[in-house]
Amino acid sequence: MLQVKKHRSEWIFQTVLAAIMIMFSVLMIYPFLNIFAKSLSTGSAMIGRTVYILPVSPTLNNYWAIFNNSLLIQSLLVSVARTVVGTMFHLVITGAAAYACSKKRLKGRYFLTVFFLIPMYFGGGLLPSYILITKLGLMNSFWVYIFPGMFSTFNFLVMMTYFKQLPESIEESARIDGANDFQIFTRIVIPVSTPIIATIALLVAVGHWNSWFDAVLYVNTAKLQPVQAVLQQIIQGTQTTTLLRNAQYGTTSANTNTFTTQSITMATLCFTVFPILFVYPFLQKYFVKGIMIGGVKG
Amino acid sequence: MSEMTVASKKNKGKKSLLYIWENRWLYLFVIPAFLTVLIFNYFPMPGIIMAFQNFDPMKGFFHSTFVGLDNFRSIFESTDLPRVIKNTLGISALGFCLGFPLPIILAVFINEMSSIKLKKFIQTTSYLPHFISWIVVSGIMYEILDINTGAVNKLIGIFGGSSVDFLADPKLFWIVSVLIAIWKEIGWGSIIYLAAIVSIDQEQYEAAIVDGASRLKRILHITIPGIMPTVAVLLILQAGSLLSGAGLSPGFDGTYNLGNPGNADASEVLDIWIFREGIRRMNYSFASSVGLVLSVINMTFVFIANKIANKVNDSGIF
Repeated sequence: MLQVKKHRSEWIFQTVLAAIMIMFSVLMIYPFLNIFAKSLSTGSAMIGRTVYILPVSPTLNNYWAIFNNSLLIQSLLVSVARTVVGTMFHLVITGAAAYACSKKRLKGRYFLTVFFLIPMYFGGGLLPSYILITKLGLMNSFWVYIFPGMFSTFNFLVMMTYFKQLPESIEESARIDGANDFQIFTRIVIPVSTPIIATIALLVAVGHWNSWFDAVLYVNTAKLQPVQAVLQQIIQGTQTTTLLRNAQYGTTSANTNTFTTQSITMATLCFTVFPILFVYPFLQKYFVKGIMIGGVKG
Repeated sequence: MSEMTVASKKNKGKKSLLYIWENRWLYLFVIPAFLTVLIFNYFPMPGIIMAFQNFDPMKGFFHSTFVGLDNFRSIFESTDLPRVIKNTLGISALGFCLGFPLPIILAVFINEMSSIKLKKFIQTTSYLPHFISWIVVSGIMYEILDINTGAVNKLIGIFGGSSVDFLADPKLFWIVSVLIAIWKEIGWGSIIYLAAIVSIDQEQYEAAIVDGASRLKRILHITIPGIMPTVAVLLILQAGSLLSGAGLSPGFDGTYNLGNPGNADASEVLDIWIFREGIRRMNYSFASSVGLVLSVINMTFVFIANKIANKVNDSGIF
């Protein structure tokens, strides 16, 4: 009798909790579903109407408009380029340093680790960094997206921790066969470290894809703006006219008056979220582990 | 060993050269990172001196006139200061009071769920907004909080309320921006607590069940004490960001992107002030002196919080 009662109260508890948590989940995803529905709606049909979860006169035209819009296409290309190049540079430079510093035989290892750690706590601040970038001639250059972000102390620590726990024996046998450190790193260490490298690559790539502030600070050339910066100008209402004009030029006359800034903005928003959704399952598999390694160390 | 001690200096020099040659790849591996950090992290550090100068980019750090503490004096004479401080502390306090406990509560809730599938689903959906930029988040929020067509205002209408202009009303900006920040980061913030809960010894729970402890009792007396060290570490880390958005505050990115002329009175925080004064109006020295004061105050808070944590339960981080 008591057992039954207990089971029932547990069942009630789990049902109520599940209901609360599902409501919470809906709260988390609804905003995404909402803009997705809007991105599939015809712009002119949306004016003055509320779109909840189903598109109004569904169409793919907003997405086609992105491809016909030179401004958006250019910015998407800039974002892809900075994501690919930036992630590669980050992995090579941070990863190589982490590998070197994981070796006990590296003299000056302690000094180097402290040298890399200090910027986590102290910095010159926004203005001195800004002046530095100006003096280095990186203003309005693509490389301003890449160079300052090539190293991260956090990722350095995560990778170093990982390399340290790799067994010495696999490297030893290669060394006896006459391999040097470069060959050992590229042919042995990197292949056995794919989980950690993949995690960091994904996190760095998402960071590059999402960043906008460096563009606001250092770049005012229109053709070098990443998509996030262009989106920001659209949302803040400083870019709308160009956007619409471009969209209308690129499409057939029949569609001209069906676009609105809103419909194209929604499609662009979704378009920048898709790549993240695509890598998200892979990301999720690893980032919890990454946080824990970093949390212990940092 | 004895050979080493009698070795001549010349020999030693040769040895260290040989050592470097043998480990050349390791040194080559470090050099790019070393230069990157030296240039982009260390070079700006002496630039703090411009807070004490009347910095002129044409003249540079060496030839700009030195003005002592004049810049700091003008911070306190600025008419913007009271408003900016009020906004910064207001948003930070709200972000801390709501944003610090909520991820803990979420973690406890997720942990109590028995269905593993549902658990995974909740986690997956709640981490997602963390990976979306504040630009996109602001774009989404402007849509669903729109005064005329936003889904939230329609919902308010259904329940008989009148429409609210959430993002253009300075009175609402603090709470609205903090709630959006919580939406964005609550799931991500809960991960570390979930990991802490999972590492609590399961036998404690079993013993408590045998003793007839209720679920609430088990949470209060096992789960919460079990994650206290994690809570303490995160509290200390938060203390350092009291003036740039503690807990789940919108921070610079959030306030910058949700800010607009309508809510400017409530959305201008210290970090944005530094950006506007320094970059947009080119008051380099003034802005960097504000930045310096800010980082000194933040550092002080971290040290105080750490001292307290050490005194209370020996859980400081240094």
